[in-house]
Parts: sequence; C-alpha cells; structure tokens
Amino acid sequence: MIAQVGRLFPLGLLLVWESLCRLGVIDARFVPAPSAILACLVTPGSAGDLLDQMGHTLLRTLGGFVLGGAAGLGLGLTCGVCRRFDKALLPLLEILRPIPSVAIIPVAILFLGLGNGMNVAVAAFACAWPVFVAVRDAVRAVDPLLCDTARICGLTQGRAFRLVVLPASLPGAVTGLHTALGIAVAVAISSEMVASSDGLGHLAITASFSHREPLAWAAVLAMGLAGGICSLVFSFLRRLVERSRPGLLGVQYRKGKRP
Amino acid sequence: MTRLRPLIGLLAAALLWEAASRAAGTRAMPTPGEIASAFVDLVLNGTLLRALGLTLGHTTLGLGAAISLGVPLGLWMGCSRTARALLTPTMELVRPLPPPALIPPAMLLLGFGPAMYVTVVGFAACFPLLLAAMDAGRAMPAPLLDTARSLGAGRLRIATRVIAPACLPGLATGLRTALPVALIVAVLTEMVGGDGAGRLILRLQRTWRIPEMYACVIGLGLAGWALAAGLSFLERRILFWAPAYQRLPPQP
Repeated sequence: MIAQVGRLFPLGLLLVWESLCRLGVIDARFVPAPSAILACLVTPGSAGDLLDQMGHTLLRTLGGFVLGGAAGLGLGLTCGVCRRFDKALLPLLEILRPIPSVAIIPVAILFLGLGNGMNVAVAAFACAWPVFVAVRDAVRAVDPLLCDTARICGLTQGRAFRLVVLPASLPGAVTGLHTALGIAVAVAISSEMVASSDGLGHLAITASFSHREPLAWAAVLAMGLAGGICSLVFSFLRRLVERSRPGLLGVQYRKGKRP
Repeated sequence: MTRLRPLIGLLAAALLWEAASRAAGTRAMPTPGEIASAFVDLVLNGTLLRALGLTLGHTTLGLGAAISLGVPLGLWMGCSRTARALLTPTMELVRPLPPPALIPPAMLLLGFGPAMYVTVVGFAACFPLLLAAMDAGRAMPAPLLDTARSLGAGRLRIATRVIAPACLPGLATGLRTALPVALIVAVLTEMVGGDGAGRLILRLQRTWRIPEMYACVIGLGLAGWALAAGLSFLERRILFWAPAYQRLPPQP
C-alpha cells in the first residue's frame, strides 16, 4: 500500500507543479508547466535537437571515461605494486588531486583550444582520480597470503601480477570505474556549460539565456536521462560479466549458502 | 635519503615543467618561478583571498544546507520502513541527475546571486549525505535501540543519545564524499554565474594573464586540500572512539 503511494508520489508532485503553474502561483515564464516541457520533448524539431546534443554529450562522456579510466588504472596499478614509485609520486598527486576538476577547464582551453578535445580531456582528468585511488587501494589490500603462495609456487613476478594481483584487485577497480562514470557525465556537462558550442550543457545555458525556458528544462531532463543511461549500461555490462564468469567481480554468495 | 624521496618527485616534476616551458616557448606554459611570483602577488593584493573566501563561503553554506536537509531525511528513511517505501521512488528518479544539471533551473528560479550558488551546491552535496545517512540508519544495531527503550528512554532521548552517535561515523564518510563535490560545483556555478574563484580563473584566462591563472588554480587546489584536511582533523578529534579511527597496531 505504502509502496504504491511512494510510486505515485512523483506523479503527485508533477500534478501539484502543473496546477500551481496553471493557477499562476509560479511564474510560468521562468518555470514552465510540466506539460509545456513535455510538449517540448515531443515536438519533432526540439526533440531532434535534444537527441543530437545528447549524442555529443554521451560521446564526450565516453571518451573521457575511457581515457581517464585507462590512466587511472595504469597509474593505480603501478603505484599499488611499486612502493618506491608511489612514494616519489605521492606529493605531486596529492597536490593535483584536490584541484576542483572544473578549475582545469581554462588550462585545458589554453592547450587544446575550444572543441571536443578540451571537453574530453577535462572529463578524463576528473574521472582518473576515483579509479586511481580505488585501484591503488585494491592492489594494496590483496591478501599477502595469496602473494606468498604465488611466490612459493615459483611464479615469476610478471605471472604473479597477472594471475594473482590483477584478478584480486578487479572488484575494487570496477567500483572505482562506476564512480568515475557518474563523474564523467557531470564533468562533461559542466565543461559544455562553460566552454563549448554544442552538447546538453551548452543547450541548457543558451536556452535559458534566450527565453526558451521549456527547452532549457527539457535539456535538464535529458541530462538526467544521460546520467541514468550511463549508470544502467554499466550495471548491465557488469551483470553480464558476472553471469558469464561468476566470482570474477567479487565473491558471490547465494542466499542461505554462506560458508 | 628515504625521507627526502617524496621531494624528489616534486623536484623532478618542477624541473620537467621548467624544461618543457623553456622548450615550448609559448606563453601558455609559464615557468614555475613566474607562477610562484604571480601567486605571491595575487595573495598580497588580496584578489585571490577575496575570491577564495567567496568560493569557500558558498561551499560551506551549501554544505550546511545539504546537511540540514539530507541528514534528517536520510536518517528517517534509514530508520523507518514506511519512509523508505514512500520516498525511494522519488529519490531514484532524481538521483541520476548530474549535479550541474541544476544550474539552469536555479538560474531561472533564483537569478544569479548567493542564493543560487548555495542552492546548487546544496543539491549536489545532498545525495552523498542522504545515502550515507540512510545506510547508517539501516545499519543501526537493533540491540542498542531495544536496550535504550527497555531502559525507559523517550523518543527524543533515543534520537539524540543513541541514534546520532551510532550514525556519526557513517555520516562522516558521507561528508568526506560530499566535500569535493560541493567545491567543484561551487566553482562551476561561479564560472557560469558571477563571482568568486571560478569567475576569477576564467577572467584571468580571457585577459591572457596566464601565470596568474595558474596561481589561481593552485590556490583552489590548496583550498580543496585545506577543506579535506580540516575535515579529517575534526573527524579524528570528534570520532576518536569509533573503531575506524582508532590507530591500528603496526602491521608486521
């Protein structure tokens, strides 16, 4: 019963919003009614525009995620395995890490100019950090017993890394990648808002500056959709991998079969 | 020698940067010395400190709003099954919204100004806090509540003397996640909107005062570091009793 009410709750909020707009309590010039936003989503012209811009945003997100994820993975693995390298690099990373990622945008504009490369680079910078931290911690948390066993069994360092350390740190890496994906979407949109000529972020800002409020709100809705799509696709892929290779991404327990 | 090793990395990076900027010869890459002197100039004439003060003000106000909204809501959702069933669908609908998505609506609703910055930062920082509070509330050991109840504690007393301390470590984790998000979103809204360090960086870049721009980026990095360090200091002072913060014996 309560679950039903909970599911209808968002709908109720929308109804309240609509009626407030109709009654004139909210200024419909700035906050259009949900019906107006919906109309904007369905109208072929603006819908096509939105889809187009969403494609740009998603491509940038993907580019940043792949580049940043790869950088984070590489750096995290190296720092996790090689203590000396980690110690030497740590102060530099500790200086770079707290810089808010959007503060990098002007620097990226200097080097890459305005365009796709800049947006992708900023997204990559932002999403390299969570992956780096997660992978480094995961590598360090590998059970020493496993490493010792590998050494006793006569595995060379390279093989031990490939067969023991890598699989053992995979679950941590996947968690870091999931966090990074959300960050990639957010930062791609941020960089579009500040410096770009297309993408959802740019569309939302220009639409709200040029008195096309329904379009701006529709773009915001599309941003939520883009974030949701990314998260869903990631979870789907993860479940796919888990089904074909059980236990690869973390220990799984069936209900009632806990050891 | 081993204690100096961390410095070697920094020194190597600085030398590399110096060499690269000499070799490139563009004004896009000033030498470390130029950046340092620009940093000192900006600090001495007060520009940087004023801008950082504004940014930090927006960040902390937004965080305050997020805490006062997200934590009670999260605790309520964590402790009461009814609240969870009621509010989870709405939360799941709003959650995929990336934090910067709130900037255009806030701009239209509130115009530019502190209210808008604080709203956007508050929204962005709210979700990590809400989720952490919900998890902390759900992970409350039931015996604690039962004991308190059987000893005759009232509802208010249970909330303040049992639930709050039990959830504090979880909330601290949420706050640690929310802090960088809040700072990033504060800088972003300032870039789109009007003042603070975000605006300063963009203005310096557009007027081609590159060393000053780098100095401002470094200033923001320092601000972020100071916030994180301050939080972890507070955590260690307040939560010294929590298992996660107790100093572990050195590993063999």
